[in-house]
Amino acid sequence: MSARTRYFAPAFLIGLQLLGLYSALLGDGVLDWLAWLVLFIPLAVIGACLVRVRR
Amino acid sequence: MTARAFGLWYKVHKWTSLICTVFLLLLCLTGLPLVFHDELTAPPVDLSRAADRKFASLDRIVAAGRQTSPREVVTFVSKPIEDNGTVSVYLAPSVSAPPKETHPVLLNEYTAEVLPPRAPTRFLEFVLDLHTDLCAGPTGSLILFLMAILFLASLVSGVVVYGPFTRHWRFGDIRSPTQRRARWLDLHNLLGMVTLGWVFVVGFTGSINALSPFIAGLWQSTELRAMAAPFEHQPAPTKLGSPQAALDSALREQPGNSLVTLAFPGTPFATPRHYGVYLHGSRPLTSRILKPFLIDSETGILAAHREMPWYVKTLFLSEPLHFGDYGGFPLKLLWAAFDVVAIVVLVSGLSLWRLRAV
Repeated sequence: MSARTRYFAPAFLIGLQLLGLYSALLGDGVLDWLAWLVLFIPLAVIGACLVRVRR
Repeated sequence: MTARAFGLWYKVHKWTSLICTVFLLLLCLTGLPLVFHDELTAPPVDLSRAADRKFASLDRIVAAGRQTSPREVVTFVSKPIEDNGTVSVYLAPSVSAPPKETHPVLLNEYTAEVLPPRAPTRFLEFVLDLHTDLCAGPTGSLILFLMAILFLASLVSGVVVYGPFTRHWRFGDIRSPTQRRARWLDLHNLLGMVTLGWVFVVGFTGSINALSPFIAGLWQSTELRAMAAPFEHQPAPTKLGSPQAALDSALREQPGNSLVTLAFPGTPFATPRHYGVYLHGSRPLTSRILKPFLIDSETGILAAHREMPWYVKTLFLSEPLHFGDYGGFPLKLLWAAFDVVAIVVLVSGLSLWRLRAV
């Protein structure tokens, strides 16, 4: 479990970031929304981890 | 991984990071206001909403710009990629004057009225110079290129040492505040790995952008020279023709495109006889890739046109991916948030090194 999350989670988030950076280049409208959403997820994960530590 | 291999990767990560950290902190701090460059330098009124109005002729715009300083000559006319209803006319003492002697006059694209200069422009220009070349010209660009290479090496080595460092912990675990160094280490690992995709793309595109003066020089000395070669024997123009006619000639070749820059004859991005007209497409991707045209400055006839080579296109695509100005204001906010996280990663790395030395 430990090894899986420590590699899988960053790899998944890196994939999301690359998808977000690329999709905004391809078009406006829906693709912009997709980019904003998938780029927000890594920041939300950081926030969630920090909140969990405070608790 | 053997202990020896781990030790080697750790040393690579430590030293590549330590050497480039000060530069990267400077780049992250100066990059933060540059993300909002367009908003900070926006004209006082949103002119882009005047959709029912027609653009003023480029001839009128050039004449109005020149009137503000009749002793100077017009070197360039430039429009922002994200149309905001403004156009800049650049004036200089001569067409061969160095860039530092060139200054822009901002005009309303619809009425050709001169607009007041933007207040924070000088500060942002200084920040941009610091960010692109440390205010040291091509030498500064080269230094930043080397720092970007070290940074990419530190990212790769950081990924390699991440596994062994976190083998006893779940993803996202941060140890108690009593273990100060361990806490910094966990924070460094978490933030560094979660933002790795963005940081790698921005670092990689930054290394390409650092080479932009050399890429531009290479293009001028090879491609532009080849475009101008058939016309070398032709004399310099006795009287300049209409800039609007030059733009129209280029637009007839590429309908649906828009002007980015019109370089006047004798300037570095034109020839002694031709206007250099640079157009861009209307889609997010094509809007970043410029297309060059040489237009005879007396007759207004298209003289030469060719696609940009791969290395220039790579540079054009690196710019938006570095500055985050291609996906609306929300993307800029996300860009700024990632930038702040990157600053925390750098500071946590420095703290780790400092606490180890104590």
